[in-house]
Order: sequence, then structure tokens, then C-alpha cells
Amino acid sequence: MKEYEFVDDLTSDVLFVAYGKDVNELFVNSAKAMFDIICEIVPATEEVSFEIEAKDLENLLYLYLSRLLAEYEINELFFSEFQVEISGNKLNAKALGSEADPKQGKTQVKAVTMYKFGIKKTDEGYEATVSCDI
Amino acid sequence: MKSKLQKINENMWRLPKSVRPGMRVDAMILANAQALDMIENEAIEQLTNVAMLPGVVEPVMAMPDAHWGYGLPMGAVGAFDPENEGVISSGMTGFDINCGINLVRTNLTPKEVQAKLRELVDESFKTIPCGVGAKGKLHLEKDDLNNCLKDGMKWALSKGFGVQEDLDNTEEGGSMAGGDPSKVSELALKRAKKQLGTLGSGNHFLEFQEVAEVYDQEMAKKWGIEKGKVCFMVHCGSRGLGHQIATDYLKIHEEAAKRYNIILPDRQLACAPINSQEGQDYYKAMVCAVNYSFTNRLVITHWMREVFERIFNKRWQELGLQTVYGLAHNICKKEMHIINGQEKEVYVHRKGATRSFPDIPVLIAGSMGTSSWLLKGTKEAMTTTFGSTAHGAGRVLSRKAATQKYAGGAVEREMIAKGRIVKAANMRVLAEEAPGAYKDVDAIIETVDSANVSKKVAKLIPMGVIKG
Repeated sequence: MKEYEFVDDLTSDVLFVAYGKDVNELFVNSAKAMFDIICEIVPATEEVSFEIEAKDLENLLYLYLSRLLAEYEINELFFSEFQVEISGNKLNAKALGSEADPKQGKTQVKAVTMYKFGIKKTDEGYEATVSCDI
Repeated sequence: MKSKLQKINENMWRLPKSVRPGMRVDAMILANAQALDMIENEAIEQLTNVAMLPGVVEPVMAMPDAHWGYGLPMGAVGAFDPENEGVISSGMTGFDINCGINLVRTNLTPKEVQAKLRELVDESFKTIPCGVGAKGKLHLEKDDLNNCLKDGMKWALSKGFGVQEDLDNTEEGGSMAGGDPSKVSELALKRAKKQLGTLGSGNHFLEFQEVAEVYDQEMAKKWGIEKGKVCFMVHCGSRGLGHQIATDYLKIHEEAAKRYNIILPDRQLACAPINSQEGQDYYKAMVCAVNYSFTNRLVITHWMREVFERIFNKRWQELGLQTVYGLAHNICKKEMHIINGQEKEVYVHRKGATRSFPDIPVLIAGSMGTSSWLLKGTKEAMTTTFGSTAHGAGRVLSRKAATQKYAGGAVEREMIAKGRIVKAANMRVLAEEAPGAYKDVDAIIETVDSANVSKKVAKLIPMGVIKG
């Protein structure tokens, strides 16, 4: 199964579709796609953990990706590995990476947007569509 | 939708509310034929979404640089009446609150700057943190951060950044009233701690420019602008603080819209009534980001003065490094406008739009490698565009399409061939920001000038560019 792919949506800054056989994998692959926009793959030497709660799965994904944007800036880390454990509407997350270096930086993501944002159940598992403001 | 536009004159087009059920007001597009041709149909459709929101004041306006955005197009203005169920929207202000521009003049000639341009570009690049992952040089403790969010440039001045004239020559004096840091989330505050004085990435830049042409001698003289002198321009915003406030309130406004039974034609238009808790909380938080961003550009200006002092071995005052003007082009403001013959306060969302008040400077940035403009605001803008004008060139290609079409190295070589120096944190950003990915800014300027929405004062052409 593909992890994610970027879709050329002329009117959006960057739009990707991420896949997962279960929701945990879907969230991890969404995070990988977003950090593929932001930076090169870096060694996972440091980690950040956090918990999130939301009213439904879609909101959980929006808050998770938005939180990762905040955490990488606050901790000045680029992330390349992600661990997610979802139970109901709660999420425990760990993001691993190393000290941010502009030489390994690609493009800044300002925010995750609601444009075409959504999660779909498919025959193979789940599919998320995410559009990022650059 | 484009086919339904009615021509008012060479520069103005009306999209009547009859084109779509649910539209409360007409939409208007300020564009000459060339500029209109460059506005996508999807952007025009987005205007109809905004025209459906409660309390919207006629008309919803698109500027000639309009292009598709999240919710409201970039290059658009939406005014809302607080006494008529009007709404305020995080999505309509944009994710980069108070993304804006500062223009600083110098006494230096292009020849003097050209002789030291490489040194100037390299030293600026080293001094101003820029690019994804760049580390800020200031770490604000809680009290300083709170004061910065409440008082903006006034706080910065008390800390030794800039001079009073910088505040005098900034929209809102660089210190917009009404900010309340208690309405800003902890996460947003944490993001703000280390990012003051950073340029960011994407379309943000620092550019050395030559005053190539002056069109209005009187205003140019008043603002210290002279043909054949050098200026620099800083384009950046409120960084992670603004992005987080926008993200937080997008979710809060999504819930608020449900609570107040507001039908959202687009999820990105999530909004709350102006006179609701959720509406006022957003306004107070947004003002904090506005003040942070004004301060951000002042701190960068302060450090750039030090760069000039090191390179030219003179005090910045001797070099004449005065702020011509600093302004916002993503903001929501309470302003007095004439509505149906009566003056009243409305909330004006300017997203990718610049304030254009009579005889006040307007700055419009071109794409990398093309001209930028200094203009003056007009009385006509007050009656046609809620005192607003364009903000830039506007994209025609997505970033992905731009990277497929252009290579960063080739863009750099093209710039060098024109005698310009460009330095970026990485090559990819040069491809994404290639001039061909943007509209022709001169066509935008022709529209706003001939429509008298803002008048040309001076044309600025790039000499050296720093991209984050």
C-alpha cells in the first residue's frame, strides 16, 4: 500500500492523499506526507510526546497535524518518524527527529486547512485528504 | 461564473446576487481586461460564497491580483456590519495574520550598493534568520511577550528597537488597540517566544531595490523617495503565532457557526457573529498577532540598519535608513465607511489586500525579479473598495506546478544574468517563487492606478533578494 501521494490541485498550495490499513497508520502516513513538504528525512535522535482529544476522527487528524506543526517550531526539531495510538477520540503521539537545520528545510507549512479535508473508509482501510497552506 | 460578469467600466465588473440563490449582496471585481483574464473562475465562485454570509455589506470585492484562496480569495475584501448580524472569520483574514510589507529608504545610490551588494546580501542572510527551521535570536519571557502582543511596536521601542518615526510611519502606529493575550492559546504563545525577528519562508523576502521611476514628485519627496536611490523591502508576517491563532479559531468558529445557525457555503469560511464571545475573542487574539507582526518587521529593520552600518561604515541615520511605511495585507479591522449614505463602523476583512486611505502610502510587492510599487491611497478607494487596493502579483501556478516547470538553479542564473543577486535557504523555494509562477504585477498596478483606487508614486526594481 502506498503511504501517501501529492496531488496537483491547481488551486491549492499543497494537497496530499494519505493511506493506511488502520487509523493509526493513516495518521502516521499523513504526518510523513506533511513533513515531506517541510524537510528532508532526518535521523530520529530526539522525541516529543503529546496527547490530543477531539470530538471525532476528522477533528483528531486536523488537531494532530496542526499540533505537529506547532511542536516542530516550538522544539526547533524536524520530524521524520511518527508513532500514533488512537483509542476512541483520544490520541497518544510521539514524533521523532533531530535539530532543525535550514539546509535540510524545504517549504514552510503555515497551516492545515479545511479545504477538501476529510477521511474516507475504503476497501483497503482508510484514506485522508489534506491541503496545506504554504 | 465568469461569463455572468457585467461590465461596469474598463476596470470594474459586477457579479449580481441573482447569479446564485442565497447571495445577499453583489460581488464586484476590480480588474482591467488583462487582470480579469488572470483571475480563475474558482476565485470568482468563492466571492459568491462570501456574499452568502450574514451581515455582509455590499459589495464583496475582488482586487485585480485575486486568486483562489482558502475561503475568501487572496486579493479580496469582505466588510461586515456588526449591527446586522455581521460575522468575523478567521478563514477570511487568512492563516498569516498581518502578513505585510515594510519599505525603508536609503541615501545610497545603486552604484554604491552594487559595489557591495554581494557582501550586503550575505551579511543580511547571516543576520536575519530565514528559511524553514531557522532559529530566532530573541527569546521572549512571558511578560515581554504579553507586552509585545498588547503594545506591538511601542513595546519594541521601549526595548531599544527602532525609533518613534518608525511607529509614525506604520499602519495603526504599529500598535493596534484591543489585543488581549488571554485570548491566545498556550500553544500559540509558545510558538511566538523564539520567532520575533525571523523572516519565515515561502513568498516572504527581503529585497534591495532601486527607485527606477517616480510618478508623483510631491508625494515621493514627502516620503523621502528619490529616483536613483536604493530602498529595501521586508515582506513577512506573524509567523507561528498567527498561524496557530488562525488554526485555533478556525475550529472555534466552525463550532460557533453551528451554534448560531450560520450556514457555511465553504468550511474555510468558518465564522462567528461579530458581537458574540467567539467573534470578539478572535478579534482580540488577531490583534495580538497583528502587533507581533508589526514588531517582527521592526526588529528585522533594526538589524538591517546594523547590517548597513557594518557594510558602509556609517551610522544608519547618516545613511538615511528611514521607514517609508509599514503595512498589513492580511487583517480584519474596525473602520468607519459610508454604507447606504450613512457613516458606520464595519469590520473589514482584507485578505491579500492593502489599506488605501487618502494620501497614505500603499506598498505592492511584485514577484521575485519583477518590480514592486509605492503608491498613494485615494478618496475614490473609500467609496469603491472600502479603502482597499491590491497587495501583490498573485500566483498563477501552484507550487508543485512551479517546481515542475522551473529549476531553482535556472531561476538563480536568470537573476544573475539581469545583474541581480538572489540568496535562498534552499533552491526549491526559488523554483516555487519563480517570476513565471506569478501574474504580471504591472497589469495589476495599471488597474488600480487607472481606476483611481491607488495612484502610482514610484516603481522599485530589485537588485538583490533574500528568500527564506
